[in-house]
Amino acid sequence: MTDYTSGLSAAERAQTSKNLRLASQFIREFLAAPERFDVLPENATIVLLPSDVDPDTELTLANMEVAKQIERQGKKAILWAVGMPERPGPQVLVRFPVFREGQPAASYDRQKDLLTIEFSQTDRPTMVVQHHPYVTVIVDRETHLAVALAIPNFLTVVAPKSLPLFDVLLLPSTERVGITLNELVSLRNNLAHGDDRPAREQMTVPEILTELARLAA
Amino acid sequence: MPIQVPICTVGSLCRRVCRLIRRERDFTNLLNARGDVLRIRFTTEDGNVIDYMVQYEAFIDGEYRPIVRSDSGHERPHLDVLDWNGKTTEKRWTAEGTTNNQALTDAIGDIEANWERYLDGFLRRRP
Repeated sequence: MTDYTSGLSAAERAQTSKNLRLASQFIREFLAAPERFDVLPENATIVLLPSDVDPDTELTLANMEVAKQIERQGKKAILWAVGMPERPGPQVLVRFPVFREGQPAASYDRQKDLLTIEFSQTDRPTMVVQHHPYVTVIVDRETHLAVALAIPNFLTVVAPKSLPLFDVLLLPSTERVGITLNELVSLRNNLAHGDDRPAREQMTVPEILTELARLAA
Repeated sequence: MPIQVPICTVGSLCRRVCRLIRRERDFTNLLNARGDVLRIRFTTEDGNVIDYMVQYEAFIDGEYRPIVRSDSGHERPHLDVLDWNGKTTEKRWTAEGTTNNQALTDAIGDIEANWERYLDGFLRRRP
Protein backbone atom coordinates (compact mmCIF):
# COMPACT_ATOMS: atom_id res chain seq x y z
CA MET A 1 0.00 0.00 0.00
CA THR A 2 1.33 3.45 -0.86
CA ASP A 3 0.22 6.91 0.14
CA TYR A 4 -1.73 9.38 -1.92
CA THR A 5 0.77 12.20 -2.09
CA SER A 6 1.41 11.51 -5.76
CA GLY A 7 -2.22 10.66 -6.58
CA LEU A 8 -3.35 7.58 -8.45
CA SER A 9 -1.58 6.50 -11.61
CA ALA A 10 -3.54 6.08 -14.82
CA ALA A 11 -3.29 2.30 -14.42
CA GLU A 12 -4.63 2.47 -10.85
CA ARG A 13 -7.50 4.69 -11.94
CA ALA A 14 -8.36 2.27 -14.72
CA GLN A 15 -8.19 -0.69 -12.31
CA THR A 16 -10.40 1.09 -9.78
CA SER A 17 -12.98 2.04 -12.38
CA LYS A 18 -13.12 -1.47 -13.78
CA ASN A 19 -13.39 -3.02 -10.33
CA LEU A 20 -16.26 -0.72 -9.40
CA ARG A 21 -17.98 -1.82 -12.59
CA LEU A 22 -17.44 -5.44 -11.52
CA ALA A 23 -18.77 -4.60 -8.04
CA SER A 24 -21.89 -3.18 -9.63
CA GLN A 25 -22.36 -6.36 -11.62
CA PHE A 26 -21.56 -8.48 -8.55
CA ILE A 27 -24.35 -6.93 -6.50
CA ARG A 28 -26.86 -7.25 -9.35
CA GLU A 29 -25.99 -10.94 -9.66
CA PHE A 30 -26.28 -11.36 -5.91
CA LEU A 31 -29.74 -9.81 -5.76
CA ALA A 32 -30.88 -11.90 -8.73
CA ALA A 33 -29.77 -15.22 -7.21
CA PRO A 34 -28.61 -14.82 -3.59
CA GLU A 35 -28.43 -18.57 -2.99
CA ARG A 36 -25.46 -18.77 -5.38
CA PHE A 37 -23.50 -16.63 -2.93
CA ASP A 38 -24.15 -18.72 0.17
CA VAL A 39 -20.66 -20.15 -0.09
CA LEU A 40 -19.11 -16.76 0.53
CA PRO A 41 -18.21 -16.43 4.21
CA GLU A 42 -19.43 -13.55 6.32
CA ASN A 43 -17.26 -10.43 6.18
CA ALA A 44 -15.49 -11.79 3.12
CA THR A 45 -12.76 -9.76 1.48
CA ILE A 46 -13.30 -10.24 -2.22
CA VAL A 47 -11.17 -9.63 -5.26
CA LEU A 48 -13.44 -9.62 -8.28
CA LEU A 49 -12.35 -11.00 -11.63
CA PRO A 50 -13.83 -10.39 -15.05
CA SER A 51 -15.62 -13.33 -16.58
CA ASP A 52 -14.15 -15.66 -19.17
CA VAL A 53 -16.94 -14.53 -21.48
CA ASP A 54 -15.70 -10.95 -21.50
CA PRO A 55 -12.03 -11.42 -20.62
CA ASP A 56 -9.74 -8.62 -19.51
CA THR A 57 -6.33 -10.17 -19.01
CA GLU A 58 -4.74 -6.96 -17.78
CA LEU A 59 -7.36 -6.52 -15.05
CA THR A 60 -7.24 -10.20 -14.12
CA LEU A 61 -3.48 -10.11 -13.63
CA ALA A 62 -3.61 -6.81 -11.74
CA ASN A 63 -6.32 -8.16 -9.43
CA MET A 64 -4.44 -11.40 -8.88
CA GLU A 65 -1.53 -9.27 -7.72
CA VAL A 66 -3.86 -7.51 -5.29
CA ALA A 67 -4.96 -10.90 -3.97
CA LYS A 68 -1.36 -12.01 -3.54
CA GLN A 69 -0.58 -8.78 -1.72
CA ILE A 70 -3.43 -9.45 0.70
CA GLU A 71 -2.21 -13.00 1.25
CA ARG A 72 1.29 -11.73 1.97
CA GLN A 73 -0.24 -9.61 4.73
CA GLY A 74 -1.59 -12.80 6.26
CA LYS A 75 -5.20 -12.08 5.27
CA LYS A 76 -7.50 -14.13 3.10
CA ALA A 77 -8.99 -12.82 -0.09
CA ILE A 78 -11.56 -14.67 -2.13
CA LEU A 79 -11.39 -14.47 -5.90
CA TRP A 80 -14.81 -14.28 -7.44
CA ALA A 81 -15.48 -14.09 -11.17
CA VAL A 82 -18.55 -12.07 -12.05
CA GLY A 83 -20.65 -12.49 -15.15
CA MET A 84 -20.01 -16.20 -15.34
CA PRO A 85 -22.69 -18.20 -17.10
CA GLU A 86 -23.86 -21.37 -15.41
CA ARG A 87 -21.41 -23.95 -16.58
CA PRO A 88 -20.68 -27.55 -15.79
CA GLY A 89 -18.19 -27.43 -13.00
CA PRO A 90 -14.65 -26.22 -12.70
CA GLN A 91 -13.05 -29.18 -14.42
CA VAL A 92 -11.25 -27.00 -16.95
CA LEU A 93 -8.75 -26.27 -14.22
CA VAL A 94 -8.23 -29.87 -13.16
CA ARG A 95 -4.99 -31.46 -14.33
CA PHE A 96 -3.66 -34.30 -12.23
CA PRO A 97 -6.08 -35.95 -9.81
CA VAL A 98 -4.55 -37.45 -6.71
CA PHE A 99 -5.55 -41.00 -5.96
CA ARG A 100 -5.37 -42.99 -2.78
CA GLU A 101 -5.96 -46.71 -3.17
CA GLY A 102 -7.19 -46.07 -6.71
CA GLN A 103 -9.84 -43.59 -5.61
CA PRO A 104 -9.94 -39.80 -5.50
CA ALA A 105 -8.21 -38.38 -2.44
CA ALA A 106 -10.98 -36.84 -0.39
CA SER A 107 -11.20 -35.73 3.19
CA TYR A 108 -14.15 -34.56 5.23
CA ASP A 109 -14.12 -32.48 8.40
CA ARG A 110 -17.42 -32.64 10.29
CA GLN A 111 -16.76 -29.60 12.46
CA LYS A 112 -16.09 -27.42 9.42
CA ASP A 113 -18.64 -29.37 7.36
CA LEU A 114 -16.09 -29.25 4.56
CA LEU A 115 -15.33 -31.86 1.92
CA THR A 116 -12.01 -31.50 0.14
CA ILE A 117 -11.05 -33.41 -2.99
CA GLU A 118 -7.38 -33.12 -3.83
CA PHE A 119 -5.93 -32.94 -7.30
CA SER A 120 -2.38 -32.16 -6.39
CA GLN A 121 -0.43 -32.51 -3.19
CA THR A 122 1.53 -29.37 -2.57
CA ASP A 123 2.85 -27.31 0.29
CA ARG A 124 2.96 -24.23 -1.88
CA PRO A 125 0.76 -21.26 -1.02
CA THR A 126 -2.75 -21.49 -2.39
CA MET A 127 -5.76 -19.27 -2.72
CA VAL A 128 -9.47 -19.78 -3.15
CA VAL A 129 -11.37 -19.21 -6.39
CA GLN A 130 -15.15 -19.27 -6.47
CA HIS A 131 -16.60 -20.17 -9.85
CA HIS A 132 -19.39 -22.44 -8.84
CA PRO A 133 -22.45 -22.22 -6.60
CA TYR A 134 -21.33 -25.01 -4.30
CA VAL A 135 -17.67 -25.54 -4.93
CA THR A 136 -14.57 -23.49 -4.32
CA VAL A 137 -11.38 -24.29 -6.19
CA ILE A 138 -8.09 -24.16 -4.32
CA VAL A 139 -5.52 -22.78 -6.74
CA ASP A 140 -1.74 -22.71 -6.62
CA ARG A 141 -0.90 -19.01 -6.34
CA GLU A 142 2.06 -19.19 -8.68
CA THR A 143 0.97 -21.62 -11.38
CA HIS A 144 -2.79 -20.97 -11.09
CA LEU A 145 -3.39 -24.71 -11.33
CA ALA A 146 -6.21 -26.21 -9.30
CA VAL A 147 -4.88 -28.31 -6.45
CA ALA A 148 -8.20 -29.19 -4.82
CA LEU A 149 -11.93 -28.73 -4.79
CA ALA A 150 -13.45 -27.67 -1.50
CA ILE A 151 -17.16 -28.02 -0.84
CA PRO A 152 -18.29 -26.10 2.24
CA ASN A 153 -21.64 -26.80 3.91
CA PHE A 154 -21.33 -30.29 2.53
CA LEU A 155 -23.63 -32.24 4.83
CA THR A 156 -26.01 -29.37 5.44
CA VAL A 157 -26.47 -28.10 1.87
CA VAL A 158 -24.82 -30.20 -0.82
CA ALA A 159 -25.17 -33.83 0.25
CA PRO A 160 -28.96 -33.69 0.60
CA LYS A 161 -29.04 -32.74 -3.09
CA SER A 162 -26.82 -35.58 -4.26
CA LEU A 163 -26.61 -39.08 -2.86
CA PRO A 164 -23.83 -40.11 -5.30
CA LEU A 165 -21.73 -37.22 -4.06
CA PHE A 166 -22.60 -38.09 -0.48
CA ASP A 167 -21.14 -41.51 -1.17
CA VAL A 168 -17.71 -39.93 -1.60
CA LEU A 169 -17.77 -39.79 2.21
CA LEU A 170 -18.18 -43.55 2.35
CA LEU A 171 -15.25 -44.44 0.11
CA PRO A 172 -12.51 -46.38 1.91
CA SER A 173 -9.97 -43.82 0.70
CA THR A 174 -11.81 -40.84 2.20
CA GLU A 175 -10.37 -39.43 5.39
CA ARG A 176 -13.10 -38.63 7.92
CA VAL A 177 -12.54 -36.27 10.81
CA GLY A 178 -15.11 -35.86 13.58
CA ILE A 179 -17.58 -38.38 12.21
CA THR A 180 -17.55 -42.17 11.90
CA LEU A 181 -18.38 -44.33 8.93
CA ASN A 182 -21.37 -45.77 10.79
CA GLU A 183 -22.75 -42.31 11.51
CA LEU A 184 -22.39 -41.42 7.85
CA VAL A 185 -24.12 -44.60 6.68
CA SER A 186 -26.99 -43.83 9.05
CA LEU A 187 -27.23 -40.25 7.77
CA ARG A 188 -27.05 -41.44 4.21
CA ASN A 189 -29.87 -43.89 4.69
CA ASN A 190 -31.97 -41.19 6.32
CA LEU A 191 -31.37 -38.96 3.31
CA ALA A 192 -32.33 -41.83 1.03
CA HIS A 193 -35.65 -42.06 2.87
CA GLY A 194 -35.18 -45.69 3.68
CA ASP A 195 -33.69 -46.61 0.34
CA ASP A 196 -30.52 -48.05 1.82
CA ARG A 197 -28.76 -48.77 -1.43
CA PRO A 198 -25.22 -49.91 -0.87
CA ALA A 199 -22.65 -47.18 -1.30
CA ARG A 200 -20.77 -47.11 -4.57
CA GLU A 201 -17.42 -48.83 -4.37
CA GLN A 202 -15.85 -46.50 -6.92
CA MET A 203 -16.52 -42.82 -7.47
CA THR A 204 -14.22 -41.51 -10.15
CA VAL A 205 -13.16 -37.92 -10.58
CA PRO A 206 -15.16 -37.53 -13.81
CA GLU A 207 -18.21 -38.89 -11.99
CA ILE A 208 -17.70 -36.43 -9.16
CA LEU A 209 -17.36 -33.54 -11.60
CA THR A 210 -20.39 -34.69 -13.54
CA GLU A 211 -22.35 -34.77 -10.32
CA LEU A 212 -21.16 -31.29 -9.38
CA ALA A 213 -22.19 -30.07 -12.82
CA ARG A 214 -25.62 -31.62 -12.33
CA LEU A 215 -25.91 -29.82 -9.00
CA ALA A 216 -25.02 -26.52 -10.61
CA ALA A 217 -27.56 -26.89 -13.38
CA MET B 1 -43.78 -18.56 -5.22
CA PRO B 2 -41.74 -16.96 -2.40
CA ILE B 3 -43.12 -17.09 1.10
CA GLN B 4 -44.49 -13.71 2.09
CA VAL B 5 -43.72 -13.03 5.73
CA PRO B 6 -44.22 -9.62 7.30
CA ILE B 7 -41.37 -7.90 9.11
CA CYS B 8 -41.10 -9.27 12.64
CA THR B 9 -43.16 -7.53 15.24
CA VAL B 10 -43.89 -9.75 18.19
CA GLY B 11 -44.17 -13.41 18.85
CA SER B 12 -41.57 -16.12 19.02
CA LEU B 13 -42.88 -17.97 15.97
CA CYS B 14 -42.69 -14.85 13.82
CA ARG B 15 -39.13 -14.19 14.97
CA ARG B 16 -38.12 -17.75 14.22
CA VAL B 17 -39.55 -17.67 10.71
CA CYS B 18 -38.03 -14.32 9.89
CA ARG B 19 -34.62 -15.39 11.09
CA LEU B 20 -34.78 -18.17 8.53
CA ILE B 21 -35.31 -15.83 5.62
CA ARG B 22 -33.48 -12.71 6.85
CA ARG B 23 -29.83 -12.62 5.97
CA GLU B 24 -27.14 -10.06 6.68
CA ARG B 25 -24.24 -9.92 4.25
CA ASP B 26 -21.05 -7.95 4.48
CA PHE B 27 -18.48 -7.80 1.69
CA THR B 28 -15.30 -5.82 1.18
CA ASN B 29 -14.33 -5.46 -2.46
CA LEU B 30 -10.69 -4.58 -3.06
CA LEU B 31 -10.32 -2.00 -5.81
CA ASN B 32 -6.60 -1.52 -6.39
CA ALA B 33 -3.13 -2.25 -5.06
CA ARG B 34 -3.25 0.85 -2.85
CA GLY B 35 -5.83 -0.94 -0.74
CA ASP B 36 -8.89 1.15 -1.62
CA VAL B 37 -12.10 -0.73 -0.96
CA LEU B 38 -15.80 -0.70 -1.54
CA ARG B 39 -17.60 -1.97 1.56
CA ILE B 40 -21.07 -3.33 1.01
CA ARG B 41 -23.31 -4.33 3.90
CA PHE B 42 -26.96 -5.21 3.53
CA THR B 43 -29.76 -7.27 4.95
CA THR B 44 -32.18 -9.16 2.77
CA GLU B 45 -35.48 -10.61 3.75
CA ASP B 46 -37.28 -12.85 1.35
CA GLY B 47 -34.98 -11.61 -1.43
CA ASN B 48 -35.59 -7.94 -0.74
CA VAL B 49 -33.00 -5.55 0.63
CA ILE B 50 -34.41 -4.13 3.86
CA ASP B 51 -31.39 -2.03 4.72
CA TYR B 52 -27.98 -1.40 3.23
CA MET B 53 -24.78 0.60 3.45
CA VAL B 54 -22.22 1.09 0.69
CA GLN B 55 -19.02 2.98 1.40
CA TYR B 56 -16.09 3.81 -0.85
CA GLU B 57 -12.91 4.13 1.20
CA ALA B 58 -9.44 5.18 0.14
CA PHE B 59 -6.39 3.93 2.01
CA ILE B 60 -4.55 7.16 2.75
CA ASP B 61 -1.63 7.64 5.13
CA GLY B 62 -2.12 4.18 6.57
CA GLU B 63 -5.82 4.64 7.32
CA TYR B 64 -9.06 3.84 5.59
CA ARG B 65 -10.82 7.14 4.86
CA PRO B 66 -14.51 7.03 3.93
CA ILE B 67 -14.99 9.17 0.83
CA VAL B 68 -18.65 8.61 0.07
CA ARG B 69 -21.36 6.57 1.72
CA SER B 70 -24.86 5.59 0.74
CA ASP B 71 -27.32 3.94 3.08
CA SER B 72 -30.98 3.17 3.40
CA GLY B 73 -31.30 5.60 6.32
CA HIS B 74 -34.29 6.13 8.56
CA GLU B 75 -36.46 7.90 6.01
CA ARG B 76 -35.25 7.00 2.57
CA PRO B 77 -31.99 6.06 0.89
CA HIS B 78 -29.44 8.78 0.43
CA LEU B 79 -25.81 9.35 -0.46
CA ASP B 80 -23.36 11.40 1.62
CA VAL B 81 -20.12 12.84 0.31
CA LEU B 82 -17.78 13.03 3.30
CA ASP B 83 -14.92 15.16 4.51
CA TRP B 84 -11.81 14.17 6.47
CA ASN B 85 -13.73 14.15 9.74
CA GLY B 86 -16.44 11.93 8.35
CA LYS B 87 -18.90 14.83 8.21
CA THR B 88 -21.27 15.20 5.27
CA THR B 89 -20.37 17.89 2.77
CA GLU B 90 -23.03 16.97 0.25
CA LYS B 91 -26.19 14.90 0.65
CA ARG B 92 -28.32 13.51 -2.14
CA TRP B 93 -31.65 11.78 -1.61
CA THR B 94 -32.94 9.10 -3.91
CA ALA B 95 -36.22 9.66 -5.68
CA GLU B 96 -39.28 8.94 -3.59
CA GLY B 97 -40.52 5.41 -4.01
CA THR B 98 -37.09 3.98 -4.87
CA THR B 99 -36.75 0.50 -3.44
CA ASN B 100 -33.72 -0.42 -1.38
CA ASN B 101 -32.75 -2.99 -4.04
CA GLN B 102 -32.68 -0.25 -6.66
CA ALA B 103 -31.05 2.26 -4.31
CA LEU B 104 -28.26 -0.20 -3.50
CA THR B 105 -27.44 -0.91 -7.14
CA ASP B 106 -27.83 2.79 -8.03
CA ALA B 107 -25.44 3.77 -5.23
CA ILE B 108 -22.71 1.48 -6.52
CA GLY B 109 -23.39 2.75 -10.04
CA ASP B 110 -23.05 6.33 -8.80
CA ILE B 111 -19.74 5.56 -7.11
CA GLU B 112 -18.56 3.80 -10.27
CA ALA B 113 -19.41 6.88 -12.33
CA ASN B 114 -18.17 9.57 -9.94
CA TRP B 115 -15.51 8.05 -7.69
CA GLU B 116 -12.69 10.11 -9.21
CA ARG B 117 -14.57 13.35 -8.57
CA TYR B 118 -15.37 12.26 -5.00
CA LEU B 119 -11.75 11.26 -4.35
CA ASP B 120 -10.23 14.37 -5.91
CA GLY B 121 -12.64 16.57 -3.92
CA PHE B 122 -11.78 14.70 -0.74
CA LEU B 123 -8.05 15.17 -1.33
CA ARG B 124 -8.56 18.88 -2.05
CA ARG B 125 -10.34 19.26 1.29
CA ARG B 126 -7.42 17.68 3.11
CA PRO B 127 -6.74 19.80 6.22
